[in-house]
Amino acid sequence: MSESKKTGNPWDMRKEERDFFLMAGDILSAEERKDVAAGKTSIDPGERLLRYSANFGAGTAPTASAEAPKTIREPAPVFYAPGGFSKAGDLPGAATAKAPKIPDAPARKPAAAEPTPAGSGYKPAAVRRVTEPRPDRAPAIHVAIRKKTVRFGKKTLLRDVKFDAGYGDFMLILGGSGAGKTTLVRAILGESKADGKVLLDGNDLYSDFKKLKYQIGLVPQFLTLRVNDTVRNTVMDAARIKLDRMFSVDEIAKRVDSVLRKVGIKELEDSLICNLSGGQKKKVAVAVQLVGFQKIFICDEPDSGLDAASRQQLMDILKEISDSGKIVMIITHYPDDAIRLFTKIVVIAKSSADKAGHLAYCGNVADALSFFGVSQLQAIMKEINPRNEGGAGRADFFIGKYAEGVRR
Amino acid sequence: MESARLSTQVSVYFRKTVRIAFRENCWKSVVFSVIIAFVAAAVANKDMFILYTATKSGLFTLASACIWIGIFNTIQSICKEHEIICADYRSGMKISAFVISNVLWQAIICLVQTLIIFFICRIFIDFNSDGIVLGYAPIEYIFTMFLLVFGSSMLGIMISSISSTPTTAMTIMPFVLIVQLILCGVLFKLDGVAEKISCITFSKWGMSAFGSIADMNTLEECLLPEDCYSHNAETLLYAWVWCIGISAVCILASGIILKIRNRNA
Repeated sequence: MSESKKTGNPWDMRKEERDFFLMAGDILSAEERKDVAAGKTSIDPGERLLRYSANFGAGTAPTASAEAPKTIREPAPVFYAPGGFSKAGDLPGAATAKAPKIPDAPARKPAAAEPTPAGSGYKPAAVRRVTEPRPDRAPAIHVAIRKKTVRFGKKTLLRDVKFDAGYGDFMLILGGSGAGKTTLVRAILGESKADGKVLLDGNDLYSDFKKLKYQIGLVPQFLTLRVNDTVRNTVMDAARIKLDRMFSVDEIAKRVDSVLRKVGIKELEDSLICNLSGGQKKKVAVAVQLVGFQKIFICDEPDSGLDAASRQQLMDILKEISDSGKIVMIITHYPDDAIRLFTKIVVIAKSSADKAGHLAYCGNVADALSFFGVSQLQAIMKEINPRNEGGAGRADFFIGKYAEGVRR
Repeated sequence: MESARLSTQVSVYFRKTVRIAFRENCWKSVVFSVIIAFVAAAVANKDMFILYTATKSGLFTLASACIWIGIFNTIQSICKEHEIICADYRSGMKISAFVISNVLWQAIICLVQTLIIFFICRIFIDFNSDGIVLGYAPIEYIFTMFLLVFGSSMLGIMISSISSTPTTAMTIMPFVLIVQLILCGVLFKLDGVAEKISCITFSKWGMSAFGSIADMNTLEECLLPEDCYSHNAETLLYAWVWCIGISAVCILASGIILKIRNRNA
């Protein structure tokens, strides 16, 4: 057991443990934050250790404030939403508490491929917690795929896909069927390596796969849960596998409680997974990933098969996860349900020339709508899908247009 | 981040396996073994352990029942979970921990089934009492039966690891069973390649161990004594070691196959 378990102080951890721990700002629910702020409840040192990272961002937890690193919250950005622009503080899942701003904190560089046209009235930065010490604003994940082939190089699935994301980004990966979204996800996960690079905090995933792979969590399209186990046991077992070397069993149990509460399935903890609804099962899958302090969440159609209300609720949960300092990437066929939540969008389109998926756009949502000349994200799909699949068949045009924009 | 130690993971997955097995009504496999044991014991001839042919047929039936029960225990256990295993592996699960936890659980199930088979058979059959290695023949019969049931379970795990779907596994199973029955050396006399291949079957070594304990070569109507049924410690231990060895190879192969399947996860 590490020293930190005895003292309950994260700063007694080894550096890499601490750094890792600091990335995990995802524990306290909004209600708990209110209770803590009002002095109705306190958190014991062990639990505080586990919840620590959630406290430092909100600046509302007196029990943790002495130990918390300085935190800044960027001014509430303006979001595009159907029917107008809104402030981030008005959005579901966006915390409204303010922390003192540190003037000399470096601002995040916009991604190279992120167009920010002047006068659009749109600021690309999302609600984002910035902690000290923090890296020099380098993108948390940088994806640069030159080519991804199969069948011994005969068939190209992806070509020239390059984008990056920072902590707190809630990213949508959009594309038609067969455009290469899942191939892209598999390349980012390292499951199917591409000709190119995936950098996590500057470290090459492909060359240090065994060490870095645990930092990316996947919520797959089809659930990979043992349906005859209870919710709590499922999450607890996953937590023990992931965290056993860092925390005691009691601490892990508290972490599991917090995550179940956070995801909204605490009251279902004794239910068998086979007895849950589709949405609840998806939440369990999210909890299994969330419990392990992953930095990046990739969700492959997490909302498939769910009704509109469940989809919205799940998206809000995922948005909260990204707000807590993680990167969430989502593939969904219902992008407009959560249009106001996304901070970034990557569009993959299948070129008619080489039949491979190319990057057709990377940037914020408002500019994406303007770029494609549409009013809804769903309409982007129609623009880029081939004619024989009901689309307008303009993929090549947008691939060229975006490439030209990047070159300029 | 390092995932949990092997011992912790084995403990986590063993408890998970047990929990899920009980929820999936694992008692069904016990009931199944009761039925098979009754059928096998009921058809055994009254002259078992008196006449050579009756004894050989009876023990062959017993060995076949053990192999059938063992394979049936595990033939679908891994293949139905390939995607879950892949996801767990990505999250830090060690394949060895998963395989060991399954093996431990199967060891318990197989022991229970072995005891059931033996005591049901004892209702119909009078086993001889003079043992070779452990002093008391029934204990040696139980141990041999356990090795057969457990070994077949491990063979089932291996087939299940290879198979992508339960349907594929269930398609492979009859072929494996037929090979086991044909190559045991009871139905046909084996020569050349067939004899060599038979060395990797549980049925051959199970029959050898049973025959050795039963001292088949000295029974009435035994026209041609066979070395593999000699009533001595060497023959019995040799058969047991082969059974244990094949089981170990199956376990190892399962681990390697699962590792290869998930090499990119």
